[in-house]
Amino acid sequence: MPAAYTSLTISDSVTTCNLVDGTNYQLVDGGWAPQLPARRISTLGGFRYDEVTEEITINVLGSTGAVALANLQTLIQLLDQAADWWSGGPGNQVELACIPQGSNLTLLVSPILGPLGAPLVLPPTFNDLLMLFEISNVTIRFRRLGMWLTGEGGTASAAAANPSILTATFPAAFKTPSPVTLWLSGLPVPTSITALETGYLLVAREAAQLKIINTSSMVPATDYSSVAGADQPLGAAVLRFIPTVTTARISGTVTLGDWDTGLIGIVAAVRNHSTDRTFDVVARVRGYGVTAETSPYFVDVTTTNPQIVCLGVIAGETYRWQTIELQVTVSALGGGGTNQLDIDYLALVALDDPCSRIISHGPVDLDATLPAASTHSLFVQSRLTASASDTGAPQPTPTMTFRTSGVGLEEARPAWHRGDIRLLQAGISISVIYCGRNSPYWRVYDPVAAAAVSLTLNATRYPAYLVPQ
Amino acid sequence: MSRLQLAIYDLVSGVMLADWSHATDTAFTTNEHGYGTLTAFVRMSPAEAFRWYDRPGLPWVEVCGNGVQAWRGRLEDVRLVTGGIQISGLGAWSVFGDVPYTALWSDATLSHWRTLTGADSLAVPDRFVFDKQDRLYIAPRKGELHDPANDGSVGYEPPVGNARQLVAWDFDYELVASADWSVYADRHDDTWANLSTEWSLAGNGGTQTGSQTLTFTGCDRLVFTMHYTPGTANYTGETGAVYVAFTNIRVRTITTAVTGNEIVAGILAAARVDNPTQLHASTGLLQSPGIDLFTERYVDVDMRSLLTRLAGLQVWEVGVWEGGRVHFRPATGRSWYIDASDLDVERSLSQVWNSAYVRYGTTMTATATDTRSGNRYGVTRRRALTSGTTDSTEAVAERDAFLTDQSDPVPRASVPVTAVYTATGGRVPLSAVRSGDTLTLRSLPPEAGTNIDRIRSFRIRETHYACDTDTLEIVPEQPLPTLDVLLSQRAIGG
Repeated sequence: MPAAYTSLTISDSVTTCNLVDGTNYQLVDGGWAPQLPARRISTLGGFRYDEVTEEITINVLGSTGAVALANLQTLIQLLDQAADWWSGGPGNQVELACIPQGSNLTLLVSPILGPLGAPLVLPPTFNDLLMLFEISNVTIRFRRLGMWLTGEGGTASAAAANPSILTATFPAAFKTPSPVTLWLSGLPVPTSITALETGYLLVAREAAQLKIINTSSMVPATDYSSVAGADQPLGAAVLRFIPTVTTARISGTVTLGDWDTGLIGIVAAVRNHSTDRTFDVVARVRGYGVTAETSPYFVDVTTTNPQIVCLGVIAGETYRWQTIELQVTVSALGGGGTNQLDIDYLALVALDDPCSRIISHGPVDLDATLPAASTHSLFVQSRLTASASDTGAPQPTPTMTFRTSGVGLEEARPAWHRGDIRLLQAGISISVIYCGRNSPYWRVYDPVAAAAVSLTLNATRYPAYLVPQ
Repeated sequence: MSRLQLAIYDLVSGVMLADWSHATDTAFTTNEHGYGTLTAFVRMSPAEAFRWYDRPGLPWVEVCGNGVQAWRGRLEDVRLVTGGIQISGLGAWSVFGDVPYTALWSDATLSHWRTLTGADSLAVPDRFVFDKQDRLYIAPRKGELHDPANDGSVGYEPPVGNARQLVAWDFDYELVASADWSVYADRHDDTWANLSTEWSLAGNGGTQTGSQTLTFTGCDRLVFTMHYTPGTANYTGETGAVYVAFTNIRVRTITTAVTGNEIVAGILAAARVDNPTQLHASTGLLQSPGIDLFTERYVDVDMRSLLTRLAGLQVWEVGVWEGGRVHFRPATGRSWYIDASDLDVERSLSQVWNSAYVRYGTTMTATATDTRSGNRYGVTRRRALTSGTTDSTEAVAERDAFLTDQSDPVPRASVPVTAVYTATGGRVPLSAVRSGDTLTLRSLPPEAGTNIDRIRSFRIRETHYACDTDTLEIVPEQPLPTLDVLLSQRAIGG
């Protein structure tokens, strides 16, 4: 006789159907083996792996016929509730949990997304054995996420002034890209910074996949100079472009070193001082005879404050990039001191890795929306299971929010994100660069403390498996 | 590489209303005017579905990944279906279809000049002879009583609903009259009340000719007047012995040259009057083609048709891409490379035109011939074009643009696209390819030319990208009428 699973349950954390307890449910011999997911082809959001369809054949038992029927109804209710949760409706999340025999892991869970058609297929003998308190060979059919998730593990980086590369290292490496929730803590109280402008979060597997380049060193080059920058740039100076022609000018270069990546995403801190001149900015990366560049980014005259912009993504066959430079074109020439563009820094991320991302948040008014007696965090939550460190319920879609710390994690407001925030972690670490700013500064700067704000990267991962372990 | 995000935004506040990255059956297109259509199914509870169905306002849909926008447009249609909603979006170009456009920019025709009557002003048309045959002609009629209070006047009327005032006036004149007669070029308001005289000339008994370019404070009407100064008297001369004739008349609502970018900027401003948040106000991406357009008078025209026509005058592109910014510029675009593993190409001479002339007004341009094309294909194929312009420069520009575009055949082709690469060999997502980009087949035989008959390299007119299957369908520029789809291939990207 085949050995039973150590544990196999369907539960919403309030109501649990133990499919192998032998009292209310009993897995029939050969009644179930977990389905493996395929890699997901769709390029839109979502998970790395497809959903899977499970069919589990059980006997539904009870101490009486009525109890057996009630147990049957409980299963149906849970699967129905799962569909509600997945479509954003009311009700707790429902999970399939499993421990195969011989496992040395704690329970692995996979969120159920709802029944596949009718939740149960009842046998023709449905009524025959009820007087023996059993409904035999009932088949449960439902969809679940392709991943099995286990307990969380948290870590945090050292604090560092923004923008900088923050790396949080886990106690052990984990190979399969797994959901991760991360948050940047340390944003100051609203009395010193009342609002944040649009910012970017560059996420990577490790620090080596991120770079910050102070562009003031991209000299000498015609029409470019390094000048002391106002409003707290990353370095003491910024790269200033004062055009003498309307054709493109190429800056000096900065050495990247041998950087192993095929795709590079580039975010820049730029400032158009002009109210009537526009600029096209192109980032060019060179390596071993190959030059690749972004599409021109159009810097308009919407503001004369600094702004954080995404210049785009560079793709190249070489996996050994060596230098980076900028190419800027101005729309028209004009006199006076405002015919100029400043660039403070570039932030780069190697995007080949499935864990890499560029995501952004919109402007947020901290003063009006969050309590003052706390610090704030920028939270990217893609948690699908219950968490001891986050009291919010698991959500079918990820969220990016600004949250208060010390008041309650539910004190949050949306960050109006752009980009795929279903974050993944693989390996032993996760690294980010936060490119944000509060007006009129180049970065997140606390005028009361007279210092760039120090941020800490916190991360909680939910190791993912494709089969129960 | 991370995936794309599909999200809904309130355009006014910038607030993200929902992240619908879990949508399925998602597909979007791009075309020569920017982002085209988007369709998707979004699963949601019935309560939420009804909330979206009944939501006031006009949300916007955006698809982006790694800080790069892949599609953006209006959420135009919401359909309740089982398990959620089916949505359709249209790119920001559709904003130009919301309101009609009425405006006068420049008019070098005589169609909208008319003889004024006593109901309009002091004019008494019966006492003068007028004609509009290639000129504006005013002559006192023999035997009629003339006096200073009864003029012969012709006036220009902009279209009703036009909000642009007249500020410039060009004309040539020929005045044959004694000192008793004077001619005037006057500004008038929209009730034909005289505002000021911008130019006048008294007769001297001989023939006086000249040209005038007048600029002035904006007004709603312009009037040429022939005026008898001494007092009441019968004109005893022959009809036609005294006259004034105006030719090469042009009225403008802009003091500088009327170039395409100025008109596009005007259309953009007009579109933003009723829908101020849907298009960016920036004119930084509007380039000047340098061609002065002589007759641009529009009454209730579709802005999209007008913009397309303006771009077509010099084979430029007009549309809306990132940030709702309108562009008007020479055809640009990125270059991508694909490997053609299953190439099926056919060349047809039916679309080759390597010689052309343009008829405009009562004349025509010289015939221009592309010698290279003629030598290559061994035949001269000439096309006669017609243009509504009255300006030779504009007509020549249209002719040359036609030759540039038609002197090589557009191929009938079918090319499987399995992946797209940059010039340096880097692989890029299929979703990054869009209209206006150039595709180059890099696996053709090395002895083939670098640009053989637009086969090795061609511009993309439309893209159709399906997120669920990561497939891209491509339609090249100017598909031939005999083919349903010129260049299309479903391919699974990596």
